[in-house]
Amino acid sequence: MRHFRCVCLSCFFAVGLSAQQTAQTTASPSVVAFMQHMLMSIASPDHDPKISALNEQNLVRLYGFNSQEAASFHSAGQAYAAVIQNYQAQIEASNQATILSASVQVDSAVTALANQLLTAVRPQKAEMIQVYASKVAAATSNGGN
Amino acid sequence: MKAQSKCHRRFTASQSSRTSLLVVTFCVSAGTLFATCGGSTVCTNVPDFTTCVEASGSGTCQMASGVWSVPGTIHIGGNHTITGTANSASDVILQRTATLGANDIMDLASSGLSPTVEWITFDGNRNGISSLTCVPSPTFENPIADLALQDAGAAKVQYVNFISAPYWSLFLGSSGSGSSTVSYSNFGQGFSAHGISRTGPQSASRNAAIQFYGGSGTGAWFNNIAYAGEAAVSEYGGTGGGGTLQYIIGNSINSNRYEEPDGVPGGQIYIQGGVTYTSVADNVINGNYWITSMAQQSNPSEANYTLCAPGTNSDFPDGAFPYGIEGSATGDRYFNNSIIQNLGFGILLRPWNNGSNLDSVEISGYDPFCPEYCTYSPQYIENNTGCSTVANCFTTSGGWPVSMGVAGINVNNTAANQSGTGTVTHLVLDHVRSTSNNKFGISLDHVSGTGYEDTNYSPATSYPYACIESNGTNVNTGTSGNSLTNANYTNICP
Repeated sequence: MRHFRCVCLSCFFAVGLSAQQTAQTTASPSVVAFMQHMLMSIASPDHDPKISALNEQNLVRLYGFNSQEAASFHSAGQAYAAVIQNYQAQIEASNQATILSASVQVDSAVTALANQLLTAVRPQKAEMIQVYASKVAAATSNGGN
Repeated sequence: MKAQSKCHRRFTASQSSRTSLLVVTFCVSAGTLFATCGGSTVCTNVPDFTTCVEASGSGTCQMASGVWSVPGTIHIGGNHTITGTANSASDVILQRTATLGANDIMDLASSGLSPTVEWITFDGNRNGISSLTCVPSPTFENPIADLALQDAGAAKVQYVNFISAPYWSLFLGSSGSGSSTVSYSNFGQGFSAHGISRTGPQSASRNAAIQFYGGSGTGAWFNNIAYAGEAAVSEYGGTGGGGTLQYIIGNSINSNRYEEPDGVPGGQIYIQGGVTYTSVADNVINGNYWITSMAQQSNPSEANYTLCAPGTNSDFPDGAFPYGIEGSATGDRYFNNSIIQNLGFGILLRPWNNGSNLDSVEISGYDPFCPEYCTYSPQYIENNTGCSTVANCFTTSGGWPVSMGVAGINVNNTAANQSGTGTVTHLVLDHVRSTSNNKFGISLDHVSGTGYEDTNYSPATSYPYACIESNGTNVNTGTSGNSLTNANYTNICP
């Protein structure tokens, strides 16, 4: 799992580094959750690829990403899909403790992807993502238990 | 959950695809049933999971990996966290059985509860139950959902897959001081896990994906919603519905109104009268040029496949098609939505009933969720109203009345039967952007209010003016009865 994840993320980083570089930004938990949904929308291995492609077009449209930014998200989506596929393979053959450990590794991988994406897009786009993430966190904070 | 003082054994018939015979131990403590799972102990069969979820109090009910056949509605009894496997919603699937039939998969035992439901899949399984595959019109409007939380206090639904609901996927309502939300969830996105393989259209709901009921602050935030037979998000304003200050924000909405069981076009976002002050912002609402006459049921892998033959209606003999937004609710705010490629209207707003009033509605290019310090991306209402092959769709004579001229933005006083004489007051059009729509960019009929406005939300300095250009005809001049303070707009496109 760990080795596999490193390989996939390095594939993404190679693309991400070609995008505009900005000051290092650390994604907050709410931003990581938000960006996990972004990645899930465009590259969930469980979803119909046709609808994932439509979601990817919508993502680019909503945020006004340029071609480099769009490519960064596409590559990150592929890396995310590989991480999830590997995780799901582990789930099927594992006990609960192993699943929890693997899930923590997924969290780490998604955080790494989120941080890389925030530096791969223009500052105003990173700001949009962060502001939207904070709005969702606020809206959902008084629900549930 | 803590250990219980009194334990009993209950014989239970097979209720799980994984378990042939179960002997379930449950315990009674202060009138509360406790299952042998809960807390950090994962449930490994449906009866135990059901007992955990139906207990009062609060705790975590986690289901183990697999496809779980649900033979009877699970009634949430407390403010639990109900979950599958973190980071993989497709790993735990609650699947409708023929025995469950036309009932909710999960609902609330009593009103006012505030559960969290996350990382799980609700499979309405209309594909697998022949009597529920293509529920006919108007039966598909029976109030049945795979997850029915319309009586919730402040429920939270997140990271959930909803597939193949024979009626609705999710009912959501709020009460008390909290607000119920659904976020980061997927509706009709296709599904491939645990031996289940369905395309997007095969995984969609027969009716709307999400329906809001009463309360304040109910919201759908950043979900993916596709191929629902009716709307992606519908707000119910009738008895038991209503509500105010609701939110539909940031959703990726594709090709809903796909089967149109009743054969009647309508909005991918649909807001009934009786609801007030909904904010609809930053959604991408793409019709993908869908019209039901293109549907075929021969090959699920081909484009234009629909699980059921679309409905028919004599008023629309050439097929039905989606609008972007259709609304009849006072006080609504439509902010910076991308509404594209719908063969009907981009936005159609009109009073709910004959003689009723549609008041204080605003359509704006501003994004209040990306304020002052945040530079948002301007969105457009564009490439809609392209149904040139549909009889009567575009005509302003011999078909729909002139007030219903198909446009990127249409606001009029006709009500749903197109013959009403309602009123539209306090309409604001704040630097709206309506471009490249096939017929009209904008059509207003018998409306009053501020009209065009460039400065309502400050700072909208980046995009302060209206942008209405490259439409078949930018403004429908055949209309009448308008009384606007600012009847003209400054047209400067970014």
